[in-house]
Amino acid sequence: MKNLLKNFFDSNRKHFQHGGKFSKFEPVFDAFETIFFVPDNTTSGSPHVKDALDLKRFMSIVIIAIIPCMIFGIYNSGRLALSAKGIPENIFSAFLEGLVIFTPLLIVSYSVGLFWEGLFSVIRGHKVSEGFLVTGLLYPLILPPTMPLWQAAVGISFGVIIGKEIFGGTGRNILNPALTARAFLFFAYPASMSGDSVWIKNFSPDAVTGATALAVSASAEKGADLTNLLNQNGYDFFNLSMGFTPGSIGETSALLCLIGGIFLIITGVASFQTIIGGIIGAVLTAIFLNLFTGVSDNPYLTLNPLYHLVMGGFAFGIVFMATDPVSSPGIRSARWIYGFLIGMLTILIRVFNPAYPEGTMLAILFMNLFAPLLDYYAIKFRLKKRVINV
Amino acid sequence: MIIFFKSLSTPNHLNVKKMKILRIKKGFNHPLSELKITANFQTNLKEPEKIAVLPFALKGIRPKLLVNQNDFVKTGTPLFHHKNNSELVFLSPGCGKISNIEVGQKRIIQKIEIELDETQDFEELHSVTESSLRNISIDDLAEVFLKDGLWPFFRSLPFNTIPDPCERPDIIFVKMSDNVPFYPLPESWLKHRLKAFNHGISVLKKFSESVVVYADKNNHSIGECAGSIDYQITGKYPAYDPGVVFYRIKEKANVKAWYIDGQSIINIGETLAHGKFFTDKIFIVGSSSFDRPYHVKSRIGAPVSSLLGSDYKFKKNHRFISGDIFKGLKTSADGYTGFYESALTILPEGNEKEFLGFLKPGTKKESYSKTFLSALFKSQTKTDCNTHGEKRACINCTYCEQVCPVNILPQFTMKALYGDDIESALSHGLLDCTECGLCSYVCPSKISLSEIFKEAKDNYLKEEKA
Repeated sequence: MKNLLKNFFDSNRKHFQHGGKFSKFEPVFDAFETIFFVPDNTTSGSPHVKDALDLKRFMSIVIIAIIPCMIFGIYNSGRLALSAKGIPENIFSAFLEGLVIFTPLLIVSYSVGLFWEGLFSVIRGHKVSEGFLVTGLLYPLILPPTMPLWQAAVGISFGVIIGKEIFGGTGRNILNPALTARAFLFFAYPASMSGDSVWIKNFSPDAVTGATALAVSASAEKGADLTNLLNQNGYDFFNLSMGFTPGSIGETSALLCLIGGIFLIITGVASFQTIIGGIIGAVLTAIFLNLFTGVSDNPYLTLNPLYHLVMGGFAFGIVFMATDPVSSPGIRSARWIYGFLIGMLTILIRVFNPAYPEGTMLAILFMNLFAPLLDYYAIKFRLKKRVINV
Repeated sequence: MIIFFKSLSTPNHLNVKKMKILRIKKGFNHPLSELKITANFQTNLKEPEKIAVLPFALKGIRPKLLVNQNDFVKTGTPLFHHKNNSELVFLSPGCGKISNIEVGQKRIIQKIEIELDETQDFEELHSVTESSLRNISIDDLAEVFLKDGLWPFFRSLPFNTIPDPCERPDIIFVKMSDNVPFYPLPESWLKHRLKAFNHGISVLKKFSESVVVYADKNNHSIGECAGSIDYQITGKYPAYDPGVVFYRIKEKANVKAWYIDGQSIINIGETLAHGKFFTDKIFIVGSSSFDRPYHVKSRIGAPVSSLLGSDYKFKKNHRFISGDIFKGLKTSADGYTGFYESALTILPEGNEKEFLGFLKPGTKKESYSKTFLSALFKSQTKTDCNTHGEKRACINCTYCEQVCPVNILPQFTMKALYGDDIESALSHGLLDCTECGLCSYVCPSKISLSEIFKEAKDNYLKEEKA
């Protein structure tokens, strides 16, 4: 296998090198070759040694962290689809049904996204960056299971081109590309992205309502006790954190997001400042809002702060989306504030803006825009303490 | 509060110089630095037939030759001087015939080879004995240093250049030990030379009142010269870099700081005591394939081959580095060691393609990050000169900032320099950069951060001088 591939690459390399037939497609050739073989480049001078970590490994670690959420998401969406159709399910049939739903979305996401990545790389003569491997997996996981494929394709195109490539590609984007893609769909095709029907009902017209916990909360009567209401609708804390609920494919299980988050923190790939800052921000904001329970009849004010953490896409967003290093601030102290504000804004949007039941996506995108400003002040603060050596 | 006052009022009647402990938290210990080093000497060696001086490696020096090919030189004969200042001369470290002067691109002199002669003739140099030291003025002493070829042992911060002959330092750092792979143990070169060392230190004290000698906190066999040590240092690489120590203890800007290796103090002490250019030098030779690095007693300008035991088997595709793995100079099996470097490191080139390298669990991969299994199980990792990946755009992972010992913001400084914004880079502390190479080492995007900083500093120096 190894030698077969080596011979294949060695014999075809000449066509892609300078002066070859397909020299323009060198980035694509290189992208495929480097998946199988770490290049034989060596250091030119001091330092003579380099860390074994490269971006491929870095991104693979993120993918490993996402996989539990993905597998559960496949099972859960299959389970809900079968029950909507009134077919009795078991774990295998649910998983199979889930694969039928998820695989086309994943294929569309990777093929359309990589097409754009490849195209831009070929035009610019850049190498194909590994960043999209994560974006392409995250994107279908934050879509509703009933998303039409063509819309998914349009969305990821927007995310890759406008969210990333026009700024210069991976490492130079200011917004998280996967969230940019989702935000585009959210505003362009609201009928496919929100409302009660997209999570389950579109599988079968006869299905009972598939309102998510967020939708239940948004439509609660004024003055209701929301924690009780959610419990009555089957959205108790246990169910919400395990994730046997309707929602975007990968986001429902807060527990698996937590496991993924711990893995990312231990490996040092994701910044714990963002994750913990976000959780603190969300909890403190929710506790603060609880103080106003009697003042207004907004039912959200009564909600137990811990419910906020397990509802909707907050857990998934703070672990996998907010920690995207490129669109985060580059100073670790600023990441505390960045995470905190994401948590706070998520809760504020949920509570006070009934038009957007899901605040996480908008909160992260909004804070992405503020990341350079946070960096600016964090640097300014750090330099105050410095003895300038000029 | 009571404890605080108590410690203040303790009378220092013992009159022992107080050693301060300096803990440096940031940095990274390369797996090779785990190799146990003892003061063992390799004696099974060939005597060098040729030695060489490498003028290209002397930063900021434009050499003007004073000798021609086939000339006969004694140990201590001037070989060349700095073009802009004829006082700054560089002496021959050996006695014999100049067999080759190699000129490279842009007419930069690469090396001056000297074929060693059996007559061990020495040029008569000025000496400064302990008794004459009291009456000598600092300017006279500087002149002796320049004429005796001892001046180049000094280097100045922040550019690591040989200081200008008119410059006088505010502070001089003397580095006794280092935890970089590899650096000779102080006891290996201090043995029998303590007198010269103490003489050298008292000469240095003429130059500046604050001579800061620092050593490894955990090295207990250094006791002989404990009286001269001011700082005991503990921390990860590059805690022993003079730039890092200076960064940690400096309180104001515009301090002229010089540094010198502890071993060079012996060269200074012996040369001044006897009026003969003292060229002995202890090297350490290490490799990722050795169980244990060994020391070698040799001389300045020694060829690589003379440092390898006669039973050393040359393997293909190995890189010889004069110096350590982070800052050393690339050389070859038939090359020579640099003037300042007292180590020889041998690493496999690693120029072969690794199949599915990024998917392996990585029990033998070395990494600052914890993304390989080697982070869990301390096993011997494989070190080579492969870049382990391709260059990519910066993804803001902050690893470089996490390891930077002088708290530069490497990724922001790099981006500022990318946009020619030298002002921002300087305000981030570009000139504090000690060129330790850790940022380049840890970068998962394989960006040559420390090379970029080195280049920017060199350009800044050129413009400042112009």
